[in-house]
Amino acid sequence: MPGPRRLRRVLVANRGEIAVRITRTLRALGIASVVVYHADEADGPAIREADEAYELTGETPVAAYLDGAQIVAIARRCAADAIHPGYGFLSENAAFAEAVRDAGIAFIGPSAQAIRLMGDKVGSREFVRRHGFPVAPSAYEEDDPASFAERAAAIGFPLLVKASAGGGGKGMHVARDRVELAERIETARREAARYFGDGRLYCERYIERPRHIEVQVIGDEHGRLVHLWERECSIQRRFQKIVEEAPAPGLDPALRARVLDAAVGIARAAGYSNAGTVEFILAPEGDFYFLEMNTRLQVEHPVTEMITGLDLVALQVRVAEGEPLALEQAAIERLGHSIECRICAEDPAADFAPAIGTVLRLRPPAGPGVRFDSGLAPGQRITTAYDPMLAKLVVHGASREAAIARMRAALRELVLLGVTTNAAYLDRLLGHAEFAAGRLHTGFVVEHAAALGAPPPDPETLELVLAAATLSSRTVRDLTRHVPEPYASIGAWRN
Amino acid sequence: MRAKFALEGGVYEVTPVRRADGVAIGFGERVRRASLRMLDEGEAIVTLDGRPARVWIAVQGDEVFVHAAGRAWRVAVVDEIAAAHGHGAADDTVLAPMPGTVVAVAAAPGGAVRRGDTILVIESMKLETAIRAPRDGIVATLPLAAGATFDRGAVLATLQPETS
Amino acid sequence: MRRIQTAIDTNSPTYKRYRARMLEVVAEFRRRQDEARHRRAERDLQRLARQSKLRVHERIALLLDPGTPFLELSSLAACMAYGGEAPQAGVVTGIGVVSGREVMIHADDSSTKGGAWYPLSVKKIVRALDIAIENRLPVVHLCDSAGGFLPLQHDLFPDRYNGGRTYRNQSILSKLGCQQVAVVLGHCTAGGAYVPGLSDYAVIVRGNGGIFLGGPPLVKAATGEVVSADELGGADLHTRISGTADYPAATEEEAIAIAREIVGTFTLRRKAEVDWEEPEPPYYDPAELYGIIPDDIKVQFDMREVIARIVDGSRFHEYQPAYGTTLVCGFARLWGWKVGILANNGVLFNDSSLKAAHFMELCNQNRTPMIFLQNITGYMVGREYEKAGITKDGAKMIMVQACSEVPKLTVICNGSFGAGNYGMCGRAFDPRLLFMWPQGQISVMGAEQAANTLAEVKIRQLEREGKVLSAADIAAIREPILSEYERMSSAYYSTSELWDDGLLDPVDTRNALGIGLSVALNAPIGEPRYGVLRL
Repeated sequence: MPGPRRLRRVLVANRGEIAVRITRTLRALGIASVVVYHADEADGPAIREADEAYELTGETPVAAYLDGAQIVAIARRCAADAIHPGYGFLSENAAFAEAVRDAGIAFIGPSAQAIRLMGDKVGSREFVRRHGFPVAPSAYEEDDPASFAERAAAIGFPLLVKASAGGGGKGMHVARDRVELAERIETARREAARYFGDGRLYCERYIERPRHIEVQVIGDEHGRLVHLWERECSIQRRFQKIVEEAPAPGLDPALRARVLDAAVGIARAAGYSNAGTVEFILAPEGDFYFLEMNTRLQVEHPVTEMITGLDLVALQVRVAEGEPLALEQAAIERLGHSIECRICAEDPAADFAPAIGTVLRLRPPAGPGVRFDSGLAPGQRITTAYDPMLAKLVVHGASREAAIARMRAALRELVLLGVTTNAAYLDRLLGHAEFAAGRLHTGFVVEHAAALGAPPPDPETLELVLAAATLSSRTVRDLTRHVPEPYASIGAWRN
Repeated sequence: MRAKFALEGGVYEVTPVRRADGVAIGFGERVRRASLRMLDEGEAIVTLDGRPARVWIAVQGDEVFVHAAGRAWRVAVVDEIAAAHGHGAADDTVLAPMPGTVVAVAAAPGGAVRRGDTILVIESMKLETAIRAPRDGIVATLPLAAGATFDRGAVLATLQPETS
Repeated sequence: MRRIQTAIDTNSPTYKRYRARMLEVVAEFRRRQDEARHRRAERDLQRLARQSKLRVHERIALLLDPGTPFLELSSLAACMAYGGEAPQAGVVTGIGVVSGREVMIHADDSSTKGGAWYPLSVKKIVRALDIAIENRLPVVHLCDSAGGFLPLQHDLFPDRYNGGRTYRNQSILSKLGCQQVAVVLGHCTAGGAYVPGLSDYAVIVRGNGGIFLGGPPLVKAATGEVVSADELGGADLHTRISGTADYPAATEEEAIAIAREIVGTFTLRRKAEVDWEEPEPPYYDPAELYGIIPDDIKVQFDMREVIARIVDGSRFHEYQPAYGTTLVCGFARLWGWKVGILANNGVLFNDSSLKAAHFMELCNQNRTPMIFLQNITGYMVGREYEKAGITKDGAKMIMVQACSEVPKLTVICNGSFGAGNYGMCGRAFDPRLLFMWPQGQISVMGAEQAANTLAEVKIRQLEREGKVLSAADIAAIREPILSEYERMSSAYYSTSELWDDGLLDPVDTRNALGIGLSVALNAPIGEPRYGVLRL
């Protein structure tokens, strides 16, 4: 059993808000922070937060962050004793985790083996099923290609046809009868081959109006593994999460207990250590199925932190140092309710097309129970080079109603000018009666799309906005300046 | 003059008027006194008929971003002339600016073109020029093929008339 | 500067009587003006709609900066001519602000007779361009005319101030550096083609716009060539090939927007330096003017009361208050500018003529623009006055006035008779603008007097032939002469014939003069120099 090894310098192999967030905890722990950046973000906030910064080069910015060898080389050069991969990029790349550890550097995350196991979407489901945990009934093509369609139909309709090599909500199609099934298989195979380079498919039962419930787990290297309660992530569009909250509203306590137990059981069976999230699909009838496990820190982890008062990154660091987790499951309390909204550069009026622009003004909301995690700096150019998420707005309240109210007030207080965001859309979403009632499911935004559309502006506000634009636009303002006297004083007179 | 702004999918016309005691803005029939006081960091007080309101403003080129009433608004100045141009019978015929030869035809009858798209490439006096679509539209005819010679003023292409 | 102390009692029966009458006069004026501006035959309006043409006043509204004034000139031109066939003489002219610049606007009105130019239309356009020349104003032409009205060609083509003068004025304007923008919204045929041809900038609307020295019918008659208006001189021909026009536009709105943008590129002119202070409105209500003008032209009133309701703060520094009291003169401010005012409180005598001449010298020396408020029956006649040299003194007044270098503006507030019109800067003496109040009269002598004189001649002649005339016979001779005389000396006749630049509601005088001063100062003011004064 490895003894505690104090980390002195950690390299954060990521960017944007998560790089800033991780660096802040490192500083609080008295650990030196190193951040890597691409040239087009040379003056980003993460560089200013960290103690040291090194440039990453690549064909594209994303390619730079995916260059594991370069990152390891930098870590060596600056004598970092650990790498935190954040989320996305290389965080679930088993080969990267191995390369880091082979270089004698600690990888703040689970073992490469656990990453590999859970990274295989098909293999991990089989693993989970074998260990007796609920998995949505499925049929895998590669088991026997000839009988694939038949085995799929036997599960019962509706079915979801998925690419084995897919993920992130891409390459999935619904089939409601045999005829559609045959068509969808053709379509899905063509797409899978084109986008993922691998045409293999599997089918699973399609749950209508499901809820997406996930459980935060964390384990140490001494065999202790606990859950830090669940999160509700049902508000999604095209399988991308928009709003997350903790705890899941209106969840039957017995059902909750079963879900939490299943998550812990799955993680334990996988010999999991460090932080991870087990995701489930919850059917309206109350049955739930394993969806996948993410072997990394998730975007929405702050809501868990808000209700437990724990710092997940600090816990990750301690686990990586070989420290035993000083957490007793029974003693991990949750208090109140937390909601997170993802502020994205997109235009809800243009079917959420990505928006570009420059951050001309930024005034984050502040106050008790309000947390704004961003990697934004004034003057920053927002392009399509990276993910459209600009920031996470997280609130905590004594109750769900209080949290919703606090979130809506914070969304209205947030000033972010220069690039179109979904902030007003989120305000309307949180104000929807169904959201307040906790009647959530993954089709929520589609079902209520019409009601969530922007209403026509009220006349008083419209005049205020037009007046502001009239008085500040150079084009418009200059032309009124030149009306000479006495004409300006005489006004609109006719003889 | 009238100022046209596009926001939230609509176009709105306001008429700013300079008066001796400041600026008044006409919204349709209503005229309201208006003033703007910029504070720090893009914060401003806009006063309409004596009623102040706290907003944030950022200007970039012909767009004004305003945060008011709890949300962000993106207001684009609409070019008067370009807007007026779109409503009438616009350029349907593309004429040769000089005599020459057609080098290449880049569009086809029935094909959609955007303003600025190359329709043909011509050559004259050892210089190649791209002949571009004067507006968005559908190509109606392309009377000349590659290799054809033409005189100044010859019809090189026609677009289907706009239906508005 | 001290305020004029008013002696007007707004509760007196006289005031109320005068006021009731003036309100009627003004209401009648407004009614006739509104009709001339807006009432057109339904089929003419439909024709315009079919042609996708805007009405002339709509075009002007699009051209002008909103919230700014428009001083329309001679809105009732031709109101007593051509049997009423040509309201406003088929043309609208006036001074307004476009993209922050003062401009003269000349806009053809094709809603009647296709906007053909009658003799008075030509006179109106030439006058507008004369004003532009004298006041260095850029011009925007909104062209939409069928050309000269052929049945009256003899009155609008050959003479010095007929059609050709338009093009001569345009050339001189250009020589003076005053830009002209022509917006071709209809046809510019024959001479009319020179309007855009002589303008610095020409915008032309595709479809309706056409520029040709000879229209399709004339071309066919002359050479047998058959060609459409658009092929002959449309937007594409002139903007792409001939270079006669500069900017094609798809619609009238676009054309006018382009014209606004063009005017926005003009460099703002520096005005002549004249003493200016922050303006203040008159202390007394201008509406009280209605109760000050008597209902009988022979009844005198105090011009100081009129001055008090026009100038800033009703403040007036009177010059020589004890001398020559039938002429009131002094300094005041109007819309901030210092001005010298000359006004009539009766017939002009020797002393009042000399006072006027002296005061005008002061104004010229001090670069003070002058405003003449006329209510004059003439100079005093009689042996005593001739002996004292009234002719000489009147001549001195005219000499100084005519040779003045400072700009002059005139308002005929009531009567303008005989030589008094001359001395007080009537039309012939080139005031930059001349306006008239609607109850005013203008003629060489009063109507009664003239009618009596003419009737006397006729009666004498008949008596010599042996006829004996009864009172009724005399009346039958006298009445028609009187009514014809009255007709031709009315303000409406004057404005119809363009003897003035428009009738004004008295309360509009302040604004009209303010705009007049503003444009007048665009031209440089020279050093004073006079001809020989017969001393």
